[in-house]
Amino acid sequence: MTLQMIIFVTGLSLLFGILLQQDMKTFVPYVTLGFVGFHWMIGMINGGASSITGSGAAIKTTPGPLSIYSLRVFANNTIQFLHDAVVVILVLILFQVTPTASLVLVPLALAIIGINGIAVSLWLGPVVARYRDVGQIVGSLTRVLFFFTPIFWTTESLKGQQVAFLMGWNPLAYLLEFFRAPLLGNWPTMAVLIGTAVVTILNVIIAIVHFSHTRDRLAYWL
Amino acid sequence: MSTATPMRDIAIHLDDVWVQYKLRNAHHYNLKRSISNLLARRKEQPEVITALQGVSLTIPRGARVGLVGPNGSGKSTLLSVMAGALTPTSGKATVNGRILALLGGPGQGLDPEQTGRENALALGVRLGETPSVMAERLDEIQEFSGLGRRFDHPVYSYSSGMQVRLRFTAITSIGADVLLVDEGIGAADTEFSERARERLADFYKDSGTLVLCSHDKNLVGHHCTSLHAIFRGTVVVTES
Repeated sequence: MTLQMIIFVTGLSLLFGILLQQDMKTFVPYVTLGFVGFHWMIGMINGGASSITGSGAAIKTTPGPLSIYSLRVFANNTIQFLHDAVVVILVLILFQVTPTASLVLVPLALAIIGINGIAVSLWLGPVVARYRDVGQIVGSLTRVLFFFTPIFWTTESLKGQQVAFLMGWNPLAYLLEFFRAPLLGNWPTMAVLIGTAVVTILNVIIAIVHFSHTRDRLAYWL
Repeated sequence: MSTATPMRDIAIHLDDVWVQYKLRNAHHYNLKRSISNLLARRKEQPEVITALQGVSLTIPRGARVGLVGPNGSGKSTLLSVMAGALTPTSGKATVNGRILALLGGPGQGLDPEQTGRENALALGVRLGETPSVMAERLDEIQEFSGLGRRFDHPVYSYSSGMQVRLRFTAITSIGADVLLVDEGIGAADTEFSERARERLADFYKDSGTLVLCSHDKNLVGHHCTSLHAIFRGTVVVTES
């Protein structure tokens, strides 16, 4: 998978770097961090969507806390992310990205993305168990999100354009920027900090309310 | 609690347990359809199936109870409620002590892509054991199950009997106060069935509580000291 990530990130950087006439020295680390972070988050969303329906047999026969299935999705995708992190480190060294004090935010960013991943799985898994077509909708949405998330383009490049308003509604954009900016030696903007906090708080509240409300019904829906 | 048995001597207590579920077709699981029904004020009420009707039951600690009844009578649902895998629609199920359940078909809960060893480890962890404790038991599980080298092969290559061996051995390798078995050793061969019987006997000799659900009267008669006959979701006969 790491090799697959190298091929994909190289192709993406070369294609859009040339098309958008970007400086490769800054563009390649930007795209690499963006795609690796996005891949981790999308993996948890897609995995979270099928966390309950994909474990129907185990849920119906094995007593135990149902949150274990969300934690499993988190663990699987985080192990995958740690493999991908090798690519990030290589790129940061190769492209001589100078570390700054902003690196202290990286553990917090990782923890926040992890918490959001578990939370989304806790509410989305039961939603898909109740309404199976939501799983297909999530699959389509995540594919579209790849283009609507600043992975190979920057939010600055949208300034003054109407579509910039739409980007403000993409929760992944805030989380991704909160993860990427410190690794590139920048501090996240106030808008990113507020957006990350709002997304995380809402996500966790929805997860607690919805999961505790549906937990006892899940075995009946499988 | 209606019984005079002190709470500490009770393994399982069911108080007026009802289980009702909606018989949903594919379109009942469809969000688009549900929204269009809501907008059109169209009602599509799925049929309600009553699997258990006000079951009240007390199983003392160390008891060996057999559940018998025809197909669809509610035996497996009752075991699922006892196991805590299914929350009753109404009523209360109380279990004292650690409970282990061997429910469902031979491969239920096993990951076909993983090896027998990996599945045994994952099963133990899901049931509350730590990975290190479960890892120490893997050699014993391999030996008791009789899977030999096949223990390291993916489960999709197993026969039904081999899957039964793996599940039964992995689950019963874990210590518990209450063991629930739902036709758990039906597909295994005579040689393994005999060893499984011995293991069950070892379990209840150490004052473990056993609830066994089976159509095999010999199996129930061999292990159980009391019998509950279930019919249409209610306990109709209790014999000691």
